[in-house]
Amino acid sequence: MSRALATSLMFVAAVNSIAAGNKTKDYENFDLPRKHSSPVTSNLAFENSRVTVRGKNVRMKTSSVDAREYIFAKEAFLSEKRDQAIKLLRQELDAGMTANRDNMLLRLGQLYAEKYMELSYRETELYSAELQDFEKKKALDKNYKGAVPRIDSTRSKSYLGESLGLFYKLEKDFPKHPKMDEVLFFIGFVEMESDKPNGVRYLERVIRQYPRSRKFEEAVVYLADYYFEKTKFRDALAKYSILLHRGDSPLFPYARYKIAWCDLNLNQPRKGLAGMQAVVEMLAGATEKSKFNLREQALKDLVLFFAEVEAVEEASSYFADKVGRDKMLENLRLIADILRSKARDIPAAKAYTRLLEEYPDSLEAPNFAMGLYDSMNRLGRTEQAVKTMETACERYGEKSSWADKYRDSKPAEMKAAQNNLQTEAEKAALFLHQSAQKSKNKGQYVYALRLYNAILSGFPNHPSRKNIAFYRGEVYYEQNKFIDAASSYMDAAKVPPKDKRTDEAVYSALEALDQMTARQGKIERLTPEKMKTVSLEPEEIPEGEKRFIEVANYYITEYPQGDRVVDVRFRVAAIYYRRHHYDMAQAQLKELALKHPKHRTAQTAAHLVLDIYNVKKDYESLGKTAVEFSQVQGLGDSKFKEELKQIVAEVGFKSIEKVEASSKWAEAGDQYLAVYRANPNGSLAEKSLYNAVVSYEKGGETVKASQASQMFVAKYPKSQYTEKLMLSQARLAEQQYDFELAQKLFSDFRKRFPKNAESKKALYNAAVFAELLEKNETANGLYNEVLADRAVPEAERRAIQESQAKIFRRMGQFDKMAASLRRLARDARGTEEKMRYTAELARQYDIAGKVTEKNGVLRELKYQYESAKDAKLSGYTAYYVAEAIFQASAPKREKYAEIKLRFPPEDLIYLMKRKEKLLTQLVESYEKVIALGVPEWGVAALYERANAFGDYAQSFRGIAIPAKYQGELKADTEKSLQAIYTTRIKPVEEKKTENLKLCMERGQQFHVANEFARKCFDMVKKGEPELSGRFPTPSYWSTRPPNAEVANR
Amino acid sequence: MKISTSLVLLPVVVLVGCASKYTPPVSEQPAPTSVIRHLAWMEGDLENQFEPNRTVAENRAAQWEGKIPEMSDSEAFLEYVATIGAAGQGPLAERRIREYLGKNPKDKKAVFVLAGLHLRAGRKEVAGYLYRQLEKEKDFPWQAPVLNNLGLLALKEKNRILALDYLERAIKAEPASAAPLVNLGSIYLQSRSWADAEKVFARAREVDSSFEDASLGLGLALEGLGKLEEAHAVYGEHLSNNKEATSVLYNDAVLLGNRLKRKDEAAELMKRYLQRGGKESAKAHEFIQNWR
Repeated sequence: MSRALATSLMFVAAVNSIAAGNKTKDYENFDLPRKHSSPVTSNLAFENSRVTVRGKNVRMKTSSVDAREYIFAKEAFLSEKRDQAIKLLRQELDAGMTANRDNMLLRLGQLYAEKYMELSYRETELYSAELQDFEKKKALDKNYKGAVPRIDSTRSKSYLGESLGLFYKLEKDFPKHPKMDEVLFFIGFVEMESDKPNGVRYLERVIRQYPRSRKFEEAVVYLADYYFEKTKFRDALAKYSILLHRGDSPLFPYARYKIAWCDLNLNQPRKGLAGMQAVVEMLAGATEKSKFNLREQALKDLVLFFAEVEAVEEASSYFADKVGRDKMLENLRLIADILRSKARDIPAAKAYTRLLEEYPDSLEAPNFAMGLYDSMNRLGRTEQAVKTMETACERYGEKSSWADKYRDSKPAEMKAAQNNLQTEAEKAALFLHQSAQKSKNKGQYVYALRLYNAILSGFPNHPSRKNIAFYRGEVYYEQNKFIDAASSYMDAAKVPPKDKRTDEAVYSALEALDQMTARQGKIERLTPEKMKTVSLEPEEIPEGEKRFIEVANYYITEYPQGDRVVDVRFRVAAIYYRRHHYDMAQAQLKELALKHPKHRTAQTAAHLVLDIYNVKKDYESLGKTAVEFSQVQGLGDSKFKEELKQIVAEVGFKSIEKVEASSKWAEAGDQYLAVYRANPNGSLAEKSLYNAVVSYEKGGETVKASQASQMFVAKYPKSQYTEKLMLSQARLAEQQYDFELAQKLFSDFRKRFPKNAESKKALYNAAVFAELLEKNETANGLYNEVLADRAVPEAERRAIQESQAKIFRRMGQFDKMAASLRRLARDARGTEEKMRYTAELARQYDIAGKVTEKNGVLRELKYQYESAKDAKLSGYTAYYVAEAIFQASAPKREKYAEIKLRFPPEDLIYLMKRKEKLLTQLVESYEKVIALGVPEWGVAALYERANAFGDYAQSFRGIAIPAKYQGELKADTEKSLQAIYTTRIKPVEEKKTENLKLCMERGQQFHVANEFARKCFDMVKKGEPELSGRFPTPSYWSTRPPNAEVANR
Repeated sequence: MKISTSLVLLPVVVLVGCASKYTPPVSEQPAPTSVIRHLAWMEGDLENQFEPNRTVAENRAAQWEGKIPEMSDSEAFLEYVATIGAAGQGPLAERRIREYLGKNPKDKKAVFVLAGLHLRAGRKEVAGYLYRQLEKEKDFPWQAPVLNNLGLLALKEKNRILALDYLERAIKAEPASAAPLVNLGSIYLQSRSWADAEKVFARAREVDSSFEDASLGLGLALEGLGKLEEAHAVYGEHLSNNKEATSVLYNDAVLLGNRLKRKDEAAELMKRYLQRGGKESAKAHEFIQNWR
């Protein structure tokens, strides 16, 4: 504000010295046309105090006084005189002098204004010096903390205030003062410059009250400009029109010029255009500087007016006519730019098109093209826009004829234009690329691609060529043009420097190639079936994949530590894998899995490594590698680790097969069990445990087999093997002589698998073991279950019934036992068998001490025997048949014993005959017993026979001769009896002795220790001392081997 | 292998103290009888758990503590199992023998030991089954003990015929075992088959000269045959080597006093019998009284 204020004050100070038109600020900056600045060529001579001109020679004369010293001295003198004048006037006014007071006020106000100007200048100078010093110090010391200088205008402003106060006093005290118009103008001007709207009122007073004032037009222009600046165009128009109506005003052209602007701003562009063209016409040929400048400005401003009315063609003609072709080009470009800046793209495009048609090789042509692209793009004419940019890149590129044209003459301008073009082209391409990415219309990629291609073609040294090539690769990739994409990415990669973008580019190239080479997007793992048949012969690697490997190797070489190097290695290995280059693939995949176990590809790599071993049937390496992988921390998820265990187990299986082949069954069993324990929940667990059982069984490791079998049945109750193993367990228990367990297991098996073919056998076995273990109830129940099956063979049925009879006997259920044996006897296949069962029944009663029951059975047995005379007897059948027959003779023996011999002689003879007859029968009867060959009963029969003989002899000896037989009769009787004794009784007695001896001997011979044998012995050895003392008993059980009996006392 | 006297001394003394009115001074306490030292056999009935040799077995079993033989040492292991079985640790013994059989299912000696354990546990049916299985194994070397036990089982079933059959086969089997010889001889004595008894007891003595019942039976058989001096000689011979053989001592005394009329000698022997803790003390005193 201060400078403008200072300038304005000069009006007041110099009064009439300055023409209002020359002081208008807007005109100060106008450049003069170049032709006028050119030095004038003349042969005339010229000379003054400062310069001498002779033709082309110009010589400046040097002053004898230093100009600066002179000016300084002059300023000091004037200041001193001004201060003196102020002092003087102030004293007069303060003294209260009234004469000429109005002029003193006016003069003092002017002096204060001058003082203000002088001080304001010094203050500014001081401030500038301080500021320079501050900047200098700051430059030397960045940490300089000195205070930032501030302009101090306190003094100068105090004088301005004094001045304004004096003018207000003058306006108040002397309103009729002849210089009042200028006083009012001063007040209005100063106030408005101080942004005080009060100033408008003073200036309006000047216009209203002093139309003839020297300051009238100045006030009008000031206010008109003020309103114009405040966009109060109608008010401004009114003020400018005042000047327009004062035809002689030097400000007339200026007013006309401003009115044209007001029309334009009041939406009357065509009117404004006409007004502006009128100014140009009006001032045509004017030589006065201000007028000349105004016309030039009008010509420049017309660009805007033509643009506003979109009259491109009209403007072209107009400017061609008024300013020539070169200037027309400039103005037309301005019009185009203005139109473009105002988004009036149709005329803008027209303008740019016209420019390009008219000046295709101009230096600015690239800018026209860019403008045209911009406008076309905004109009949605993308195709035309892109075409424009493509053409521009081609036409104005680095190796274009256009470039050749300006390379030497205007290298900087050319370079700037190219830079601008390549930058804008890049922006345009990126914009289109982004639009394509965001839009569903993927056709936009085509435009981006065309521009990328155009840029890289036109500007091969484009600073962003790396990015551009990369993005072009992205577009190709998006379009599934993977080869092109890869090439473009690699173009990008090869642009130095090697940076992150390079890495990304190479990797993207790989990705593109990978897309092309990948089959179904992932590696196809070989199925177990395929592994068996897949060829180990390497296949030819297709070109695309070869290219991939090349790029990959480039990447791996260049970026050995690159972020994606592991992925790349994996992909290369995957190609080798797919193409059956298994050695290559395996080595690379294994290295990857081991060195980068936590990488996302590691697990798959590990899988493939193992698969290849499988394909190669190298199971040993497969197992070792699986173990190796399992020890690598972080390699694979839990499922993978399970798989490793599975593989180890499977390999273990295969290795165990070798052990099995050499019939090392126990070892095989241990190994199968180890496999199971290594992964008890793995898929091979069931099979391994089962195999362990089978191997142990084959190896005779019954305990281990049994334990493994129990584990299996417990863990896999629904397994297909469980049925078999349960039975196997039972058999193993039997083999281990654990009959308790065997009984339970056979029984369980029967219950659980009743339909199994072995079920019946299991049931029978359960019953047999229950019987062995004397679980009588259980055994009987199980046997009944067996018998419930009608299909049980007859022999087995009989064996079971025999067992049941035995069980009943053990349980003390003799009735049931007898019923069983009787049933067996009834159903016997022959007499001998029938007798055998009957004899067994007798034996069981015998053991139980049931004499009555036994005797009853013996009678049955005797009947059976007599019914089948030719039956061959043995064992206990013979024994009890013998007893039966022996017992059967008892009644006869009793009857025989009852016959007592007695007189009279007739009775005696009768009784003797009768007794002898019975004796004969008895002997025969005993003979039958003896003939059966059963020592016990043979001895018994001998004893009884001897006894019978003895009974007869004893009975005879016991005959008492009646008392009435006396004398000779008695003697004859005695004689007869003696004779009878000799002939009949004595032999009987001898037979008795003979039978007793035979009885004793047979008893000893056949080791019969029954009562009959003892009686025989006692009777034979009668009188001899009996053996006494301690007798050994047959009670020594053997629990040790014979040779250890002595050794292990 | 000899059992140290001290191991079995105390239980015997206790028995003597309980059973006899006559309590000799400590210096005169008898040595244990040879009968109960025979771990190879179980003397007595199934029902009484073979008490006579139980104590011996317990002492023997104690010697195994801390040095249980490995299963690979079959002989030692089976001996160990048999011993702990006899010492009343039947369940443990059975478990161990089953483990052994698991590893050595074809080892019939182990089956034999297992059958013995079943016998001790009173499981005659199972024991009989196992013995019958072993009997079928013609190559099994321990047929004598097997048949002996089958014979005794038959006796328990009151099947004397079968028992005789088994025992007679047992005494023919090699290697010979003293147990079936004594058992069979005892049966022969019951039937007064003196000559047969003499033969088997004599054979028993050959197999095991220290087996008291063998000498006892032989003496009785000879007495039955009227060979009194020979009988006395047998008794004397046995006593010269086995001073603690109380039954032989008793019988010899009775033979001397009642049959050979050498009453003083008989009385001396009978006193010795009493000093040794002989069980027939009442009768012994009566004999001594009669012989004065």
